[in-house]
Amino acid sequence: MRLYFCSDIHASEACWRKFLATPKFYEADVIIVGGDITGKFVVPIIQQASGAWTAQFMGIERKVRNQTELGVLKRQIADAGQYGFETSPDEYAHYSADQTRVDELFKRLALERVAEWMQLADERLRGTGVRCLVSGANDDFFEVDALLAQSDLVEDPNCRVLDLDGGLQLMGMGYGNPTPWPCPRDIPEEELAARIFEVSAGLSNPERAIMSLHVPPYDSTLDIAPRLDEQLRMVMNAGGPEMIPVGSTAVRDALLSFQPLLSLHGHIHESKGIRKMGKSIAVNPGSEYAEGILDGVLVDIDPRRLTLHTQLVSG
Amino acid sequence: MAETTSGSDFASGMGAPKGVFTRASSGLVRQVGSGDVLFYGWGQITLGFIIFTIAAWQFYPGASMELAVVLALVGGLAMGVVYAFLTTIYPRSGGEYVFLSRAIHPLVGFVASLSFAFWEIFYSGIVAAFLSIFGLSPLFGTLGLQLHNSGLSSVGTWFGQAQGIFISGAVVIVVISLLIHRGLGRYFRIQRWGMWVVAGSLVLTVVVLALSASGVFSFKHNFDALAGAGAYAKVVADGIKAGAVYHSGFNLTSTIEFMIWPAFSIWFAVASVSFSGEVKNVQRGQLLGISGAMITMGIASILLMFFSRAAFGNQFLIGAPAVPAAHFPVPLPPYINSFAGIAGGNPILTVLMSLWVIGTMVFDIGATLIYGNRAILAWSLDGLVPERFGRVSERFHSPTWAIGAAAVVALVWLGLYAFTSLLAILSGFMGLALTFMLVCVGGILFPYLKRRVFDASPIAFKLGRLPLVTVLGVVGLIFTGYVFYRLFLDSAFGSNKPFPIWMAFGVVVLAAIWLYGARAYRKSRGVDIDSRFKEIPIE
Repeated sequence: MRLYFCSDIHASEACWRKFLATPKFYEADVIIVGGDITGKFVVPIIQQASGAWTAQFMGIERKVRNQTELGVLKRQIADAGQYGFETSPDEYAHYSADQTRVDELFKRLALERVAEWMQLADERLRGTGVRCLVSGANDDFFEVDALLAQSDLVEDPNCRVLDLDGGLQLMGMGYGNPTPWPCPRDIPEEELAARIFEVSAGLSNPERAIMSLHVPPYDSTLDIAPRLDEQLRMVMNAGGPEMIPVGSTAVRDALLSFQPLLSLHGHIHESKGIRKMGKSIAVNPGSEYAEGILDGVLVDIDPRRLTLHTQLVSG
Repeated sequence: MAETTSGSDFASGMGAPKGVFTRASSGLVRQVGSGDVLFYGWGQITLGFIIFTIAAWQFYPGASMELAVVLALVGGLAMGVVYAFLTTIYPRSGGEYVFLSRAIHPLVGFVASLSFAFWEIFYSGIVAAFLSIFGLSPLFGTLGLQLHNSGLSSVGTWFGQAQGIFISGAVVIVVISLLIHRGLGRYFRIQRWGMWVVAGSLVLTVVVLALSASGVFSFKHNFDALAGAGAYAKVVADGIKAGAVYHSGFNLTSTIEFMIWPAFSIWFAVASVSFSGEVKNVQRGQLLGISGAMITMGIASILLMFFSRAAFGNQFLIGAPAVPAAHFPVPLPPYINSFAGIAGGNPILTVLMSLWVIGTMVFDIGATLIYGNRAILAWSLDGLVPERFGRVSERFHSPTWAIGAAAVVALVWLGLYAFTSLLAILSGFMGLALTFMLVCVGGILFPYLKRRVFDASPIAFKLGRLPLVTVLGVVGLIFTGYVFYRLFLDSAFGSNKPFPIWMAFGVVVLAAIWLYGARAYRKSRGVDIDSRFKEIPIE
C-alpha cells in the first residue's frame, strides 16, 4: 500500500490541486492532509474610481486594469494560500478599523474555499478508488469539520480511528499544544494527552497503527522552530534564528507508549525530517505552501511484514 | 516582516503586512530586527582574509586596493541580491539545489549544490591552516619581538610551518565539530559573544593604524628599534631585489585584476541561511543581511587597506611579502597584523589587535563545517548519500555522521595544504565561482522559465520591461564570469595549477556521476529519487 501525506497547506489553491493529483503522480492509494487547511491573509483588491483595481500582494502593490488581469491576480493570491476580497475604498476602510469584522470576513472566505475544495475533491476522485483523508488542525475553525463531513469521498480522521486495507488502522488528532497565538484547537498538554489516549483506545493493535498527530513530538528534531520574544519576533544568534523545540510532550509520550508503526505530523513548517522514536517512524514533511510547493512524504507499507519505506518529496 | 499601517492594533501586533488583513490565530511572527540581520550577515564574511589580500598586492603593480574592493562590492551586491531574491521564493528548500533544479535542470541544481558544499568543506580545512599562518604565527612572532622572547618567536615560526599548521588547525576543527555536535545553540551563543570581541578588536586596529598614519605612533621607528637601525629601508630595498615593483601611478587593469582577492572574502555573505518565513517581504531578511554585510565589511576592508598603506608605507607593504623569509630582518610573517602590533608598540595591544583575525577565521571554520554537514544531512534525506548520514544523536539531536564526515574531509584537506604544495590560497575559488555563475544564470532565466511563479512572487520587480532579477543576474554573471576567467590566467591566485583545475571540473563530473549513480542504485531498490523534487502539475 502506498500512502501520501502532507500537511499545513493553509488554503493554497495550488497545493490543493497538486494534492488531488498525487494519486496519479505518485501512484498513491491513500492520500492524507494532516490539518491546517485554512489561510492566514485576506488581500483586499480595491476598485478605484478609474475602474482599475489595486492590491498589496507579496509586498508589492499590484495594479490590474481589466477582468482578465483581475482573474490572474485572484488566482495568484489563491495559489499562495491567501484570500482575495474585492472591495471598495470605503468598505476597505471600515474593515481596517474593525478586527471583529475582519475575523468574520476571514471565516466566511475560509469556509467558502474549504467547501469549494470538497466539491473539487468529489469531482476529481470519484471512481478512482483512492481514499482521501483530510482533517482540520489547531489553526482551523471548528466549522471546517462540518464542511469536510459534507463531502462524499473525503474522510475526516480527526479524533477517530479509521480502518485501512491490510489490517492497518489510522487515528487522527488535530488538536495541538499551546502556541503563542490563540488558535482554535490549542489545548493544554494534559488535555491533549487525555484526548490522544481516549481515541487510541480504539486501536486494536498499535503496532499496526498509523497515528496522524498534527503536532510533532517534543524535542524530536521534527519540531524545531525559531524562538520568539515577547513581541513575537524571531530571536537571532550568530547563525541565524535561534531554533528551539516546540513540539508536544503529550504526543511524545503517546508515541513512546503506543509505539505505532508510523506517525505523521505537520504544524512546524521548517522541520521536515524522518526520525525513529523507539520502534516507530515519525515523519514531518514540512510545508512550503506559500511558495506553491507541496511538501509531502510517500510511505510504502507492506502490511504482512509490517515494514515501511519513506521518501520525502516536494511537488 | 513589514511595517503595519492599516488594520487594528491587534493586526499590527501580529505583524501583518501593509494593506493585508490577518487574523488573531495567524501564526505569524514579527520581522527580524535589522541589526540582527546585519550582525548575522557579518558572520558569513571572513574579514581576516584581508591579511593575505594585502600581501598579494605586490603582484598587481599600480592597483588601487580600495577601488578593487568597490568593484568586488558591485559584483557581489548584484549576485547577492539575486541570491536574496531566489531564496525569498524558496526559503526553506536548501539553497541552490531546489531553485536551480526547478529553474534550469536537476543536474544543474545538484552540481551547484555539491560544488558549493564540497568547497565549503574544503575551506574548513584550508581556513584552519590560515588561522595558523595568518593569525597565530604573526601574533606570537610579534610578541616574541616585543618581549624579546625567542621562545615566543619560535612558537610563531612553528605555527607557520607544516606541523604547526596541521596540529593547530586539527585542534580547532575537532573542537568546533564537538561543539556543533553538542548543539548549534551553544555554538552560536559562543560565536555571538565572540563577534563582539572581534568587532572591538577590529575597531582598535583601525584606530592604531590611523594613529600610526597620523604620526602619533611611528611604525618605521618601532620597526627599526626592534629589527635594527635602517631595517625598514633595507626591507624596501630588498623588496626591489626580490622582484617587487613599486609603481607610482594608478593602473586600472591591475585594479580590476586585483578585484578577485577582496571578492573572495566579501562574496560569501550569500552563504547565509534563509529565514524569511511566511510574510514575504524582500526588503528585509536576506536582502538587508547580505547587502548590508557586504557593504559594511567592504568599508572595513577599505579602511584597513587605506590606513595600512598610510601607516606602513606603500613600498614597505609591497616589498615586505616579496623578501624571502631568510632575508627578512626579523623572524616575523610580513602581514599587516604583525606590523600593526609593532606600530602599537605594546604587547597587550598586539594581543587585542590579533583577536579579529583569529576570531573571523575560527568563525569561518564553524560556518563552513555547519554548511557542509547541513548539505550532507539534506542529501541523506534525498537518498543521495547513505541513510546513516541523516541519523541524529539521541542525546544531542545533532547529525553525528554528517558532522564526523565533514570534519574528516576537512582534516584531509588541511593535511594536504600543510604537507604538500598541491594547494594554494585560492585553489577552491574556481569551483565556488562556478556555483556563483550558475546562480546568476538561474536568476536571469527564472522569470522566463517559471513565469507563473515569478509574476505572483514578491520579487516581481521590473526595470523598464525587464525583470530586475534578470538585470542583476546579468551584472552578477559579468563579474563572476570575469573572476572565473581570471582564475585560469593568474598564477598569484593559485587556482590555475593542474590540481585545482582538475578538482574544480572534477567536482562537476563527480556530481553528475554521483547523481546518476545514486538514481540508478535507488531505482534498482524500487525508489525513484527523481520524484524527490519533480513538480506536480496543477490541473
